[in-house]
Amino acid sequence: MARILTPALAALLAYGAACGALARPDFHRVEFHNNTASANGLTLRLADPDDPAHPTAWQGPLEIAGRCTADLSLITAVYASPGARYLIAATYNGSERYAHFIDANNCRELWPAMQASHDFNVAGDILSAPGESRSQLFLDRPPQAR
Amino acid sequence: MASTSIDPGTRVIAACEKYWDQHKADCSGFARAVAGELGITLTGMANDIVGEIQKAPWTVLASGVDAAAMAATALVVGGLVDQPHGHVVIVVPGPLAHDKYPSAYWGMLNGVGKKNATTNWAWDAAHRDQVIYAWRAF
Repeated sequence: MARILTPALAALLAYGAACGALARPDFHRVEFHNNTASANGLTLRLADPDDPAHPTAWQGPLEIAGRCTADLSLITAVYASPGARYLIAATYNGSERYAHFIDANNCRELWPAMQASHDFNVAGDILSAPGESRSQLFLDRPPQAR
Repeated sequence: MASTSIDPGTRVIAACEKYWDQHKADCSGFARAVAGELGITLTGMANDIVGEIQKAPWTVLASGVDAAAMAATALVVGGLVDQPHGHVVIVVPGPLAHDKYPSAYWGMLNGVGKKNATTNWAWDAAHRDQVIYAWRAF
């Protein structure tokens, strides 16, 4: 019996590992209405917009309702992906922009923020700043420069 | 000649309005243009300008409150060094946010700055209290 199960189990494990390796996030920009949004079953809230009717930035913080609050300021966008354990929050300070990787369970920064002098673009599994950097995103590990 | 009869604060606002569209994506270019319109030379990028306004004939101010008050009578520049790019703003007469962040115009490198907004929209919560403000007569 063990001889039969062992190859089957090995094949199953190999398949699972392959699927895990192939799984890619699909980040998209979260749309806020009245400073509130839903993403991946989470309710997100941003405080204090620059323009209540057409906000381009929020003083923050970013709240994940019922869970935690991320102490970020000058937030310009939030990105979420099904299956990802984190949100990406775009912020700025002076002339510099930052991409923060916020744990969706406790609002802690999972990895050091990335910095650029252009606005970050996030689409699917790519995080880029035009002319500066381009990184591969994963579901549960740090971005890698490409 | 007519412009000299207008109060300094109004002249600064007029210069900001004149150059904002052209330099809304370049904070140092915007500051240089506004200062130049008022007969004052600023040189270099934002980090250079922050250094320049801390030397004579500029006078450093103690706070954003003082910057707002001085903006009615002089050119007031606010700035903070950062790497690789610092940031500078032109302070104008107007309300304070949270009783300490003055109104200003600025360009934003590779982006879009803001017109007549308080400086807590230029620097984040961790940095906005470190901004250096300085004035010079024109």
